[in-house]
Amino acid sequence: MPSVLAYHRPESLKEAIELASQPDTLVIGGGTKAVPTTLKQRGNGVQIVDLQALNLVDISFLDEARKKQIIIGSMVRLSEIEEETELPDALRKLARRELPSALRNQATVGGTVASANPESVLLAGLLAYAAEIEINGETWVNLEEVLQNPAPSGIITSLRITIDEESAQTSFHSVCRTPMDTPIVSATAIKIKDQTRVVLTGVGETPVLLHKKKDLENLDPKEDFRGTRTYRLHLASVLYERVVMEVNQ
Amino acid sequence: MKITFTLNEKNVTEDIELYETLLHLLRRKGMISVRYGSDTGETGASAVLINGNLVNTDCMLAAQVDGHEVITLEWFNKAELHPIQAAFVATGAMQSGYSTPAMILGTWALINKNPNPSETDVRDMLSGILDRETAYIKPVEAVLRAAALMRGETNEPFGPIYLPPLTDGIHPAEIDPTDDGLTASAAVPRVVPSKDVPEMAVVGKPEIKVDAVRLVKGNPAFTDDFEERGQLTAKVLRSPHAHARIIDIDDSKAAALSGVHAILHYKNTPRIKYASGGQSWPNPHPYDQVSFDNKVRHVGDRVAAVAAETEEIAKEALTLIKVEYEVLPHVLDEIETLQPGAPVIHDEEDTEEIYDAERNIVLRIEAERGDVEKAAEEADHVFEDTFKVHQVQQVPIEPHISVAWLDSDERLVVRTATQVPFHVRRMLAPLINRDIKDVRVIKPRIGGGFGAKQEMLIEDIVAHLAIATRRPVKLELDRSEEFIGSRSRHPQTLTFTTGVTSEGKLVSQKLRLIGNTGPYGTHGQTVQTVAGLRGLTSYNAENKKFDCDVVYTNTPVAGAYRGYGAPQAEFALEAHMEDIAHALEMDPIEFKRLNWVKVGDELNIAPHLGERAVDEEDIDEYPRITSNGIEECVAQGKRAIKWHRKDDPNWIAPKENPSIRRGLGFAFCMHGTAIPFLDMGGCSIKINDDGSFNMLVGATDLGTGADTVLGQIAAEVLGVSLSDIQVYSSDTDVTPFDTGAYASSTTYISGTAAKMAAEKVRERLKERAAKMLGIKEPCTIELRDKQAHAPDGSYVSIEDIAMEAFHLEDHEQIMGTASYVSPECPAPFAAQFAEIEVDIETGQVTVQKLVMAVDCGVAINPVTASGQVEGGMLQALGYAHCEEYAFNEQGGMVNDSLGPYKIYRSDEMPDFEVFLIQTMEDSGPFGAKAVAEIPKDGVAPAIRNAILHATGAVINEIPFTPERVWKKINEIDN
Repeated sequence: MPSVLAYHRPESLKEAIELASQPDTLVIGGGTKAVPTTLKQRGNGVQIVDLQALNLVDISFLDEARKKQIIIGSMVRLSEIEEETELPDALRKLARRELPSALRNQATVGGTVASANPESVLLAGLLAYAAEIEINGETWVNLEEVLQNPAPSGIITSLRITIDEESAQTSFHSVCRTPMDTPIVSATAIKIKDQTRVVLTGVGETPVLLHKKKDLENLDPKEDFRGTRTYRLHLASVLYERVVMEVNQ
Repeated sequence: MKITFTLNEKNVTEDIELYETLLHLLRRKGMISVRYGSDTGETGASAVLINGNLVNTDCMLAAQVDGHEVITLEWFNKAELHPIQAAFVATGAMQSGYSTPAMILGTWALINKNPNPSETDVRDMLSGILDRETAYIKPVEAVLRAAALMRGETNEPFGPIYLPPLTDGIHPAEIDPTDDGLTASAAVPRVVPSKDVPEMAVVGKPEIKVDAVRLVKGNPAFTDDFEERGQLTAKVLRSPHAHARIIDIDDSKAAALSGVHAILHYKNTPRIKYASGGQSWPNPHPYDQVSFDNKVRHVGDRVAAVAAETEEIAKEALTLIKVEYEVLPHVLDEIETLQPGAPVIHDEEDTEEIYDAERNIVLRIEAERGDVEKAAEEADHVFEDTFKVHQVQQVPIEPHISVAWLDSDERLVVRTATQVPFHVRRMLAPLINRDIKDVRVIKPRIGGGFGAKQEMLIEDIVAHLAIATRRPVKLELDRSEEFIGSRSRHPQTLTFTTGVTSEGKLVSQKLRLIGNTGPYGTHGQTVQTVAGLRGLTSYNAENKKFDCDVVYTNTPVAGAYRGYGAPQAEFALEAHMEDIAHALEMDPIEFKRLNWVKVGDELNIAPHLGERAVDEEDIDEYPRITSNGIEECVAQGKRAIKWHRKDDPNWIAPKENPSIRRGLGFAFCMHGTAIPFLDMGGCSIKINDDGSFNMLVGATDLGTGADTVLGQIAAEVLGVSLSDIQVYSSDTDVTPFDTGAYASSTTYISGTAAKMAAEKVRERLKERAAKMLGIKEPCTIELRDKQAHAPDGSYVSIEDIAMEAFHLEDHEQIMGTASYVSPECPAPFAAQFAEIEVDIETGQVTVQKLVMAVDCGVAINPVTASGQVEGGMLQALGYAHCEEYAFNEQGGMVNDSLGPYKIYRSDEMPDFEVFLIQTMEDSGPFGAKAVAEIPKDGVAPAIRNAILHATGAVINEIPFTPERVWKKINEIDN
């Protein structure tokens, strides 16, 4: 059985939503993860729904009083996030940190959210920024909720983050085998006025938002060859302290 | 499905399969510069420009490109090189050149966006293209120079910097701590000339590689770039179990699938025993493999193979083969496999010469000089340390690939990415019941090998399938198969026991080694022997002993990997020696200097180890060190790494970052140059009408620049430029025999053969020139500038000599053939330094800088030689720091893809600095020794010793992953 049964490139959101609601469909942005996974798997095959014709490629800035609201189309490539100088530096750096160059030119921010990769530093950054996700062009859902339900129905059409221009205290620390390796554990912190949001990767099923230090005690990381559970918990504690101290300096 | 897109500015409408990747489509359209390295964009070898951006085509459906603009390297190719291509050529930025097309496209995209990129920008661009060969150093230089060229600027010619020596070559030098060394680009080779080396015209010069244009244009060069009419695709069904007996195979459903032409497995393939290691005849025993067995011994072991019209059909057929297994207990560790009750991995009755099959011992190796036990009893101190080294992979970006077909005379032809075409021909013939004369092996360009391709690994599969189908059959491994179905570095447990006097002189040294070869012997003997050789010949001690068991386990198979057993042994040795120095309260370099071998010292255990080991009574004279530039290496390295910081507490523990500790480490490195009395190279040279020459060599250029180096040697002898030498390598029907590219042998062995063949041609040219010029003594004729010059100032061109010989008088083909096997094995030496930072709260080690100063005799081409050191250090860095096979409880590899199996990319590299210290090795061609493998030896111990310096943590196991280091630091704290 061929692994791909059909390829659709809908030109309207309505058409895309209809196609995506069919069984055995796979929605792709850049397809960097989904395409190789699909081609490797043998079985019943899938219908590909490619969102590239939906014009979800804009980054727009809506200024409110002392705040900047940023809407990022789900098909915006990670390289475009990295290169957009109006975006917060922390987010741009995390986009660069997420993938090497060529893959960054392909992978989309919508695909990053949909993959819910527990080791994604960009996803952690978006979560730290309290990003909201637009589903089917009409419903906004907190990223935190989306990650708790890793298989949301519908199509991710855009993301929204709100930046308080006077806040902008951010910190990122990680522990890796090599400097640009996928972190074993990372911590991203953003301090907005008096509220500090810390997100850890490598310690849960998805990036984990910590509301307070005591939340460290509830972590239950899975171990792999790069780090045991004990070690990951240790790193979570060390990196938490580091990023919190840094954003409060 | 039909798609329309723009390919290199031309509109293309194409029928595609829905599952077809863009990579497949582009190669189908003849864009062979777009290359396979992975399926998930991991390697970047397949990258092209889509709408001006560098994008991987292996993880993209062809359908996704509908309506877009695609540019491949073919778009750049005109008669003249594009400035980017010219910059890559000028800097020697290509070794195998497999991923060079992607790098050039990325460069074009980068410069279009940013005409004046920084090094950081360049490294970020290159981060998507993994390179196992150059350490990215010369590609970065090439991109920066290309940008300058495209801005209209001119670059200084690229070539080595010549440095004055810091020593007299014998005694150590004091290094001025205020001397900051060089600030030149890291890509520039630093050469310290020797007064013993004469000035030469071609040798020693940074000549452009002979295959540079082919590689920089992405022209057909590699195995997959040539397609036979009617070619089928093969895929291999691999074992999901680490150890199991195959009770039955039912291939009826697969055979019924339309498009399937043949299915092979144990039930329909002759059971002929062999050993797959590509080594000289007779291959070391045991012969413990067959093409398809009724037992599998590791996850990834062969079960069956299918040949089908397309890859998709072949993959589908694999799912339809039903295999009934009896799963058996398995063992992965080399110590556990020796324990009573461990599963017996080779319980078949038809494998001969396993040392102790019941105990999983493939063979024992023992050698002794003097009396180690007695000497240790009498020593003032005895030190013993045990080390554990792990399994890593060569990771050539071009996977194993072979194509086989029957030619019009029904001879079997195999075009294959191999380092050992002549061994493959000899080893393959009996497996397919043919004479050697009925088998032809063609080695095209290879996209990296590093020892992985020193095997007869998949050639038997395509040969069997080609014979069964009477159609050409191609098999290419995917990235996962490269990890689990190819070859890797042997894990080992090593124990050094060393007796020392109170003054720090070694009196005895013993190495007990248990080497894990996986479930098949292949290179088990040779690699472990080299570990013994390297572990026990670097330092003088009158009494030495090697005691080794090579054992079977159920890991993926180990084999040859650049350096053979030296990286394992030298990690253990240099760590052990460091610790002894500290225990004796001696400076480690001083302690090592007191004991390391010097010119004239005897290599007292060397002849007793190896495939041609001899007993003491059969030796008239032991080999000795004939050249050694280690003191200059140490001096240059100390200056470059700023060794004086070692004693500065403020540098070691910076106040501004209390969790950081800094350290410096050193390792003394010694390697070999070819295997004496065994490695042989052949060369044939003939003249053409225009005074140019064809040079045929059996040696295989893996990207090392061997073709260029051999051409330079011939050109030097013949008094012509390198461009007058057309090098061809290799084809068993056409080129002379060569044992192949391994054991650091090509420059020394094949180079000597090339020199000897050229000398024969030179003598004939001189005789004819003397006659043409009326000179009585041909020996007075000198060849230079493509002319034969007489002492009286008269001369005749080599072209005129050729024309006379072909067309006018005493007609003949001027030619020369020679072969060479060496009785000697001159040692290259090196000083390896490392600077690191350790985060003591997390255990994360960051390598800041690696410096290697190498005495490789005379570097025939300093650019290619320095490239070898850079690439070797990159691989050694991965070995030390981040690369490892990880297994689940079932024995399956859990990280069989790049990323989880971590290799360094361009944007995370530490600084590298390479020095080439000239010595004159009289036995080598124009003074050359080996250079390709020694950079693999010192990085792990230098980093280990730097961590020790920084933290006090003694770590006797690699890699230095964060948790391992953190635990060791905790042990100190506790």
